[in-house]
Amino acid sequence: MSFDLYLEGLSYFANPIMFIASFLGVLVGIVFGALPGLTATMTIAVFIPFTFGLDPVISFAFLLGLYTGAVYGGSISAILINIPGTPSAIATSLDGYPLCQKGRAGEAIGISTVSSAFGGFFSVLVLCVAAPLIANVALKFSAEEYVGITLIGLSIIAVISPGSIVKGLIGGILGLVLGTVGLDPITGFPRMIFGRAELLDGIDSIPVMIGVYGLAEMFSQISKNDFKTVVSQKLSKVIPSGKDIKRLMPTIFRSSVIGTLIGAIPAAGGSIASLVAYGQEKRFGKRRHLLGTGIIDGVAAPEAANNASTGGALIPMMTLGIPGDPMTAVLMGGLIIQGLRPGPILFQQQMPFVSSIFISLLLSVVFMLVIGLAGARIFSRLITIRKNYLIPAILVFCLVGSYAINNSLFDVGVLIIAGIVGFLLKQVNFSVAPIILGMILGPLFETNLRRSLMLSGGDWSTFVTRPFSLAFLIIVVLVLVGPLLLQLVRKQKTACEDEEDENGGV
Amino acid sequence: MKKGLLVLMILALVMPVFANGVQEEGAYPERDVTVIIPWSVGGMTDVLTRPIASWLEKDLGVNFIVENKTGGSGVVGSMLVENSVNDGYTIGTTSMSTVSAKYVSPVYPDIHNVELISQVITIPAAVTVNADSPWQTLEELIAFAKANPGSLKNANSGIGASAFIYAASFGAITGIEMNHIPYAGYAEGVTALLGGHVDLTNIPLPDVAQHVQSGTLRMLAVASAERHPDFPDVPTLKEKGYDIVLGNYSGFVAPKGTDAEKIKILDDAIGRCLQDPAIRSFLLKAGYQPLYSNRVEFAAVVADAEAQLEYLVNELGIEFVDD
Repeated sequence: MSFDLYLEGLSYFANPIMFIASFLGVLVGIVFGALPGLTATMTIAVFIPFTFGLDPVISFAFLLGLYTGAVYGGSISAILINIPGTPSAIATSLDGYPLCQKGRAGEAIGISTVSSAFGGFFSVLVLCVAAPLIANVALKFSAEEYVGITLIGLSIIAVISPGSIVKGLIGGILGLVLGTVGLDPITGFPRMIFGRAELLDGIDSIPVMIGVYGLAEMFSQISKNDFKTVVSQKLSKVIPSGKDIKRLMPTIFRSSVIGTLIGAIPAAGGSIASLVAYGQEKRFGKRRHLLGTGIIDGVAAPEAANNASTGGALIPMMTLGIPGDPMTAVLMGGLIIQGLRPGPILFQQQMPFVSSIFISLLLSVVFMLVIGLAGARIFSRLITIRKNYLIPAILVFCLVGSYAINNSLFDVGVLIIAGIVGFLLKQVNFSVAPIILGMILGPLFETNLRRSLMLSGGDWSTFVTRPFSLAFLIIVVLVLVGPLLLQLVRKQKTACEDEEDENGGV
Repeated sequence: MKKGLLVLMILALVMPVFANGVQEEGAYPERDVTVIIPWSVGGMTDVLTRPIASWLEKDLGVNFIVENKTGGSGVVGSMLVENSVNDGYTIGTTSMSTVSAKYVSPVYPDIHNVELISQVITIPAAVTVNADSPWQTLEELIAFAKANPGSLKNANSGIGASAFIYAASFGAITGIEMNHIPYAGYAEGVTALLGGHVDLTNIPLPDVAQHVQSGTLRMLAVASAERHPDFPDVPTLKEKGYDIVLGNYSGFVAPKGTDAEKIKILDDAIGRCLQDPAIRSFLLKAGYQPLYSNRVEFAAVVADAEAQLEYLVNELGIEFVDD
């Protein structure tokens, strides 16, 4: 990769339309991402047809803006109304919403913006410097390694369940069961579809997510019958202080690395990345005991990770022509329609175009930072709208969003059922995050477990003889029993110290 | 003020009720045509259908609105086409998976419940291995497979899905036994081959082409009737003595009972579209082989696909559904 060719890509940006396209993309992406139910994937899918007539470079400046904006925008609704705008913002709501309830929504959005921008920036750098290298490592990941990664994701359910671990596990298993609906991924046998064609692909996790978060939240607000009181929001501290950023830097950096790497693994994507980042913060972060109560660390970790996964997901797409997540799959379709099939050939022969994509992504990160920080005040003022206006509006968005995913009324039914179930679960202090995580990760885990065993001829040792797979399994064990071990070590240590004290005393 | 707003809002909500009140019959098509794609945005069918739809817009002077109705590997959208009003203003797209769905899904569309309009492309299946593998020719691969039955891992796109059908047919005609490993789709299957986790795949040409060109994969044979223009050195299975043509197709269909005149108008327009060098070069660049067949010829292609599947299921006893 020569530097000259990179510069050639820069020449596209002499055209001011590039900047306008990128800016518009980010702006529209943030708005769509923030609306419950309009996921990043859908946002891109909706707008791709509009870009067909445009020059590919301009259309991609716009689409990458959408991509970056929508992944970031999902955090805004997660923070303000406890409804993750996209699945990758689930972890953000765990600390973001409590912050909002304390009147610190502006600060949370500010931190989310800065972390997202850093994550995005970091991943673009990695994309520019090491894309082919990382892509080749990601290729070495077979079904066994996916089993490891999804297990890490699942084990984090135990970590992030606030309050009762048992309730978290029940939720996780409920999610796993819901995830088994549909055609068996290996044999194609229909499972629990009750003769409905809509269930062949399984229950879509998005309407369930909007239901258990959005609809359920609105139901419980309505049942409280208190529309007048609003949490007053402190708007003074929107741009995070240098001190906060400095303190959070290790967290943001760690999460950016995690996000980029997980994003680069085909099929993993932002939702797993943000979850793993939050999980490691919960395990190793300096203020882990406060996580979940509403601290900015809990917003920074998942947000840095999910935006880092955007650049990460472009790595296999640009170098191998393999989409890293559903969003890049749609983006890739957009490129193919323009007559450019991403992959090794495009990467070798059209370097200026490839570098223009990298620069566009960088540009969109900058615009995201600007729009996010400038808009944080306006966003957090939205939440101070009186609830008798806010609740109906959100309900409409939930309904429209879940219909729009597959243009199917069936999904609206799923949404309403999920909303009622979610509302009931809330009454018994059930956390709903494990249900969604189980639904998203369960099918990935099952398919890859069975595929690994088909590849190995039924030999279970394949999971421990492959180095990456073994490493992932060790991480799972550490996540699950780590705290117990730590406690044990600490107890012995204090016991020893006590003894020493006694001895010293004598 | 508030009351005024309320009245306005109610009016705005009520207006659409009157919008579609009056319709007159004129020369077809006189209003927008909806094109239902049962697969997702950016997918194979989507990529090839959209440029054709926008070409038709210019040619016929009305909008062709493309809608992706995904779900059940195309079952949901295909059944939606079947159940749409047959006034010629809703059409859909079809591929071999519309035919094979009945072996997999408890509810499935029937290709005989729609009127065929025209076929637009064909996608040949291929025999592809990793460039690092020891097999330089098809003969070497088959000799190895015969010496080590069941040891070769073949990546497909899901049991019962298209690449599985190609792999099963390939195994049957060459008399080799393989270990079929299902992946979620073409991209995932090719990824597994690139990573060296499987030994070969019969995934069609567009998805392996660029990796063959860049030298990471090696295509040993292509399952089309003639050699592919981009790969003149790769022999066909026919040349190697296996008389079989494998691959997918894509085309347009309309709900059963759509007026034959309207079908003819659409078919003729699509025929003109496929003559356009711009469309042809777009399709070729995206990896498809443009192949226009009119409604009559298309029926023969579909019948062939049906016969091939029947043969696999009934004669070879290949099970698509494993219970």
